[in-house]
Amino acid sequence: MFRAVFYTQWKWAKPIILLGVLIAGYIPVEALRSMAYKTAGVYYIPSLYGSISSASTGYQLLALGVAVVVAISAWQADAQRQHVYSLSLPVPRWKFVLLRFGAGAALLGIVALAVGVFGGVAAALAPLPAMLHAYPAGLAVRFWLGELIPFGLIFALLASNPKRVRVVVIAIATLVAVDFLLAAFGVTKTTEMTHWLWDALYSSSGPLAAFLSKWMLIDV
Amino acid sequence: MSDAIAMRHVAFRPGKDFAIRDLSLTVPTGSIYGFLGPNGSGKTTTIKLILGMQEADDGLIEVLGHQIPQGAPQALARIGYVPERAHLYQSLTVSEMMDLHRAFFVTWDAARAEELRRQFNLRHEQRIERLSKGESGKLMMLLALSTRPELLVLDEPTDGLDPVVRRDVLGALVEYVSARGATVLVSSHLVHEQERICDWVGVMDGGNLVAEMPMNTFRSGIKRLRVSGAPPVLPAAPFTLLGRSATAGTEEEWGVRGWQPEMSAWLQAQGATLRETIDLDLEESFVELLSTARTGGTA
Repeated sequence: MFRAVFYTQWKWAKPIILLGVLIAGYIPVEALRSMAYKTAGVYYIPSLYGSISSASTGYQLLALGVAVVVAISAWQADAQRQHVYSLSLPVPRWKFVLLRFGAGAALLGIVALAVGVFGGVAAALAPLPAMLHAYPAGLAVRFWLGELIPFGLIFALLASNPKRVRVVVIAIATLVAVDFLLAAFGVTKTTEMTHWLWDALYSSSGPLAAFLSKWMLIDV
Repeated sequence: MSDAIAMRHVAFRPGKDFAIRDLSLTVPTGSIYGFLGPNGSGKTTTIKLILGMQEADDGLIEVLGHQIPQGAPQALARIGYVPERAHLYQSLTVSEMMDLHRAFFVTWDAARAEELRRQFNLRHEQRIERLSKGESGKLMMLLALSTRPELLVLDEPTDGLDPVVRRDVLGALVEYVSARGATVLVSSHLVHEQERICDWVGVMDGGNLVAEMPMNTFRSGIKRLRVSGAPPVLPAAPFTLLGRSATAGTEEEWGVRGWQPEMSAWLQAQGATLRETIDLDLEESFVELLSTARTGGTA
């Protein structure tokens, strides 16, 4: 059952997964490419650190992009047909949702695996200074867990009742629009509600907090 | 023998404009139950309630001995369903769709599925989004029949199909039912098609089941009488008067159910004369029944 569901989702998400794998291969190559031409000097470590930091942002954007597209593709075909096919299958709804989630998580794992493998290979080929170490496996796990957060949020939203989704989206859009208008006309000093929403999502206990920290392939 | 489907006092309001109120419906095991009704009468909504796709606000639904919606997965494992509109995943091929369906049904009959695929001229590699309406209808019937269901729920299975495809689809259905004795609930507004294959009939209108009876009773039971000289107020009759309308002079047309020729004596006793008894075909009976139900008559 899982294999069949996984296969359908693979078919729908194949382009983004393959693109994700390619980008996962490109990021460490781009980050470490310049090292071959540098010598260990005073500017070497800061330069390397800047390069690896940029790669961290690249990984975060990649995780976010792949997760969003995979979550959407998991439900798009069902949503187009009002979920009639999935509802006519002889499995409890929670189990079908779990199958879809599991298949999506496994697909995201492919990109995470590529992050680990390509990161490991690139780090192994690059002349790293003695005090620095590569953590491709740790990065891959972090990448995968990072992917699961936005994937889970969007997946849950799309698996839910369309009316409820509309209400949530309209409520957030209204909140942000009102907040910006109030700030623009000087009623409030800043966009307070938007800041509050941002903090709720990105504070240390927020679901997207992982995206504010660095995802380092190479660290001390 | 228990009933394949039993709905008791079911109420459901999916929106502001439509509601099912106090719906009780029985599909006997082994029957081919024609579910008739005009578009928008509530047939599809009732089917979705039967399959547990929507949850009734009130009442009891039992399908193959399972309470719905709690037992819907168990019931669905024994049901073949063909919906009103194509519901299959468009980007998959015929073969991939069959594989996906097989994964969920332990009763999947691979040999029968392959046989039907050949019979319906469907190719493994055909993408579902490129199938014609007829091919899509055939594929849905293939999926429904290949799970060897005890109950087939078909929602307008031949709507929009050309006569050749319709014949193929109905042929496969009749062959399966005669071989396995499955129960069928088939919804349609194509009355003549139902007349050929069904032995029970239920008629929906405006969210209500306005009639439910064996097909023979339905077909022979409703007649139109041309009567003259009938008094405006009548005592209790030995038949059901569905409606009466003036035609010319003192002549009237009556829609009646349960009519027997010897009942003309009752008319004479009321001072009325029976001019003509008109046999109605199923479609005319259906129209008569609906117009009676809509004017508040007794169906």
